Amino acid sequence: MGRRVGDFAGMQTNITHTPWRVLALLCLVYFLVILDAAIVRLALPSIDLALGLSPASQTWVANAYMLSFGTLLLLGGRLADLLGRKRILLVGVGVFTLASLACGLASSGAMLIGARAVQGLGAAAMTPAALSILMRTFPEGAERNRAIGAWGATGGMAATAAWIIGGPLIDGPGWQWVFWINIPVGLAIGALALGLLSESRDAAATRSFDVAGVVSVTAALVALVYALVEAPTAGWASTQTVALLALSLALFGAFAAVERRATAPLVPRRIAASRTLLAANLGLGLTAASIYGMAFIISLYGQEVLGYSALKFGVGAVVLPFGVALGAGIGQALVTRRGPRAVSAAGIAGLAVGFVLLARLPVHGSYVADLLPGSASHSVSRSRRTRWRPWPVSRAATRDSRRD
Amino acid sequence: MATLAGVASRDAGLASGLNNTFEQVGGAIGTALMATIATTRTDDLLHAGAGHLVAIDRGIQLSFATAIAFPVLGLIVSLFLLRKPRPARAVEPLVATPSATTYAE
Repeated sequence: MGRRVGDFAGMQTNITHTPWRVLALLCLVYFLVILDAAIVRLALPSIDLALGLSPASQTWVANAYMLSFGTLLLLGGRLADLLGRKRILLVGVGVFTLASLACGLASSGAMLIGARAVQGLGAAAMTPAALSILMRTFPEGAERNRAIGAWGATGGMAATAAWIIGGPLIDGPGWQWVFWINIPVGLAIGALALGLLSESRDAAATRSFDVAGVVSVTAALVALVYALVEAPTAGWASTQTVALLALSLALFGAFAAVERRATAPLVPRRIAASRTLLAANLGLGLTAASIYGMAFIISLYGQEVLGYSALKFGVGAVVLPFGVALGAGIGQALVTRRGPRAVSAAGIAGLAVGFVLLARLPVHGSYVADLLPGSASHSVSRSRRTRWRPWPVSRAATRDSRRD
Repeated sequence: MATLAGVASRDAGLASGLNNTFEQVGGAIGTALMATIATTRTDDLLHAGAGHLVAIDRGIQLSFATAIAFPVLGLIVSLFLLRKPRPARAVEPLVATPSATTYAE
């Protein structure tokens, strides 16, 4: 990561070093929060051995973090702009670090799931605060685009680095260290943030928070995921499952109604109304559903069916970052020649091919013959995101606002 | 031109935040769906008397087969929602609200 920033600094000789140090710090923040969404999957079999988790609880250990992070993030961004970006970043890092300590100390599935949700809360404060600081540190134009590019690439790296960092920790000192490794990193981020960053806030913005919007959309998603996760136990057509799905739908309706009337809606109207942005984000959500779901299941397959250790499985997954890099290269070449839509289509096809191959995983399979082709197809496809995420979306925003 | 660029770059931050939201929420829903499909199938097979490993493996196979729906839906979304200029017209009256000017730096 440091090398990456160094490369950029070399290209931009006309600026001082500090902004790039700030960027390195912000990328570290993002690396940490994305790493934590991914690394826990590899640890689940070991955590299961220690705490005795039901399949539903295993899913929640992964999902509690993603749900609280994903749903509270927009509110976190607003808080950062109004109350001070540095302050919210530091609060977020503090919460995240303490919750990481609690995750490793957990003696039951419920405790761990609770601590994971709090960790996600910390991530929901840190991430948008860091992004907002990035926006203020880098002036509009090429520099900012490069900074956002580096930020996005860091997230992509973190997701695959999780396989490599996780294995030795889980098989060595134990699953707790998957969480405790965040403590020194969190402390370092806190110390660097105090030294490098200056406080800033948005004085002109109206001091209003769309609490009703956050509550309704969070409740809607929790109800939906709860219905799905508990369905095998409760029954797919059971009263519980049907009632929860209906409740979720009603809450989504309430969210839409709240957003229409709010003075400061969670998603500003001009953004909510952009079809391009909606399509890009739905595509991103579906890609994430594919990739996160795939990673969760192949980790289960590797460790429970093939009987690999976390280390062996993680080392096997070392090829995935190379797949991502390869895909990034192909994507880059394709996008200039064929345009972003062709690259999107190729990425989507790659995901589908990956699933077709993975749907045939046998009981006595091997990593190279069975797991590798499908997951490699996945990894090449996912790199499209690192390109696709910042550029066409921000370009789409530009296009939309020009048209208006 | 400067104002337009200002709006756009301000939106780049928001858009990136929104990306994170969709990524995490999409990831959570995808994980929940795939895990739950695998578990349902595995439980059914275990009840029917299948061996432990075979039951887990068949559950995993079914979850991957079902997950093909995600990229297929992605393709449909990009085909129908990303159709170029025309849809933007519907956006115009909505965007001309005060919020658009407040955000212009």
